[in-house]
Amino acid sequence: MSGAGPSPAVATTLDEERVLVPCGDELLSGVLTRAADPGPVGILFLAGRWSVTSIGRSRLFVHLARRLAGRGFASLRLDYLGLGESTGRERRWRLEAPFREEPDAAVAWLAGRGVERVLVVGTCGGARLALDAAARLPAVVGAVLLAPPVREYAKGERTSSLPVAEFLRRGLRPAVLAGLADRRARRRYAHHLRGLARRLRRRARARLAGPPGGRTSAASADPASQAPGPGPQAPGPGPQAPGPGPQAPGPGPQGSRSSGPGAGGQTTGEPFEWVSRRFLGPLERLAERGVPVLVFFGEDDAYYRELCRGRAGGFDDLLARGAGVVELVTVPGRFHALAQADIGPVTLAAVEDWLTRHPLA
Amino acid sequence: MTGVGAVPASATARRHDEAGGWTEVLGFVGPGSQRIAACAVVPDGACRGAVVVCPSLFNEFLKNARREVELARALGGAGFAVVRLHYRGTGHADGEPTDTAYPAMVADAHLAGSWLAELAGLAPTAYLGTRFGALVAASVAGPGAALALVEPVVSGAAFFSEGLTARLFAAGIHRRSGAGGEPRSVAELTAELERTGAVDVLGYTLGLELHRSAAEVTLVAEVGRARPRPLLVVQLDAARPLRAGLAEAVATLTRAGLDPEVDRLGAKEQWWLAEEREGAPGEAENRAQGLDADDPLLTRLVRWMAAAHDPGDQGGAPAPRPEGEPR
Repeated sequence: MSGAGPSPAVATTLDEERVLVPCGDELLSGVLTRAADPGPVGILFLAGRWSVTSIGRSRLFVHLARRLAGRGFASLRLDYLGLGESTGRERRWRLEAPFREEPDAAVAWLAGRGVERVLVVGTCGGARLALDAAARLPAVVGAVLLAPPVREYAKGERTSSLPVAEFLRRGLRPAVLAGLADRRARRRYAHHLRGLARRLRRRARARLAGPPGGRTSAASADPASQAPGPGPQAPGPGPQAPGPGPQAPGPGPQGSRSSGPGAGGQTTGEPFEWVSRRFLGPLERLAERGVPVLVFFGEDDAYYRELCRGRAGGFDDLLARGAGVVELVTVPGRFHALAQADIGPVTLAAVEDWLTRHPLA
Repeated sequence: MTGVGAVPASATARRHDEAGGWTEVLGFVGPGSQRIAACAVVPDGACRGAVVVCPSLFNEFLKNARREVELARALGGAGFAVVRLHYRGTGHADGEPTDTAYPAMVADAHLAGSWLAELAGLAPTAYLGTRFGALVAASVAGPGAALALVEPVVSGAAFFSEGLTARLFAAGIHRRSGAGGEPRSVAELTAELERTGAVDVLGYTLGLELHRSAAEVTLVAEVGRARPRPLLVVQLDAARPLRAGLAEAVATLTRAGLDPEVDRLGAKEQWWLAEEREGAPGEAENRAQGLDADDPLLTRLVRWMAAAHDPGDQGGAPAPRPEGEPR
């Protein structure tokens, strides 16, 4: 059964199977964890960029898979193409165009094993894969987005992709200026400046090439809405009342999106938004379909700060309209880097708590 | 636990690489619910040697994993059987990090070697360890086995000290909330470890059992006991002389008549702190550990293994196979 209860058994390798999941001409290595008392929904774990995505930083997915098996969830954790023990070549991460090969292959493979309904659980960039998969694939009946990036930028360019005014404001902070005395910090600042220069050159070239495009709508910026394939799923069970834990919607600490001079420069070339349409669009689709989504951050995560800067630009509306289908939950401290040893129990508690409100039965 | 739908109970997966001429076998090995995760590469033809690859721990385990996968496949293509493992309490293996202890890690490496012997029909002839895994590899290697040590730590104590220092450094970078209550020195963190039984090292648990069982282990003692032949020591930093501690260890081993070959290759590796800061210079390179065919470390290790098993062979070409046998 899916749901919370007292101290379920923790799975071991005796409940697991090393598997190779076909993905085009390649094979994704993974681990299938069987459930004690299999429920109707299985879990697909999707890591952010890291060398062994089937394990996850701090062994997060191993921890979750073995404990959620005791709650009735079989699960699959896998290595992306060119990573871990998979075959193929590693690809460049692009937040505006999440990998689809792996989620699609995994969901199809799970269906072949009798798991026809899937909860996707993703961390960081993997959360964007999970969001994309949830918005596209009818088999996905829920999504847990752990510290998702809320806008798009090229790898290593989160800071340099900020609006110029914001970039300068941060650069003039006393702590940054003090860092000029440190060689490593200087190298980092130079890296950010080079990124900013690249971005401004790209913008200048784009302006020379043609007139600037208009603001993108959520639908047109949402790749899932343009993807061929099965149409939206029939709405599931109606919205549920939010329980304790998730935040009430409300205005963020600061204003909305910035699109004035100096803004822009995200990888898409679209106007700068703290919370992008490419992030909000799929969430809106899921809310409309009644597919529950947990959006989870540490309060010190940079992505959460960006969400707070831009939540008045649509995210708060989404929380209000979603009536509990899309929930935002935060924990104190930093979550994103998964660089605390208790990240497994913290995440497990949040997911189990969320599952009590959204049993996915 | 029973199953999901009609899942068969097979625990291993196999893949044959036609071009490489080897089969990769992924499985769980060992008794009951105390199993290691292991992956073997077995060449199609006769094995010219059998290699046990011992990984490091914590962040380094993941960071170097793809490199070790590529190395195993390359060695498979050169006619070697190879096994990689996840120690108990790490990776996909059973157990919790607090259960990990040095003697158990050594036992796990032995177990992986036995599994490889079953699969390939050849007992291990060579061991390769990276960083902390170098200590394990040296502990497992018997006299006369070939031993390759990549960026070896000189002792368990040095490794733990590095990790705890990295944690302090990262805490400074992130100015974590509650940093006022954070330990401020390695000594304070060690005291916390003694008091609570475990301490966080950048997202990984260092348990007291591991710390106690490995702190006194030294590279010189382990290699001196194994008396491997030949012995290779690699530092990943061609631009600088051998690091002081490692140079001292190599000198001691040389005086003991072990005649280590020493190589300095490639660029310095940020073992502990990669992924800790977004956009840091070189981070992207550190993150992407997938190696191209001309990676100097991979090439060097394959050639060295070939020469170690056949002193006339410097090129890493596979051993001749019987007529008509498929590759």
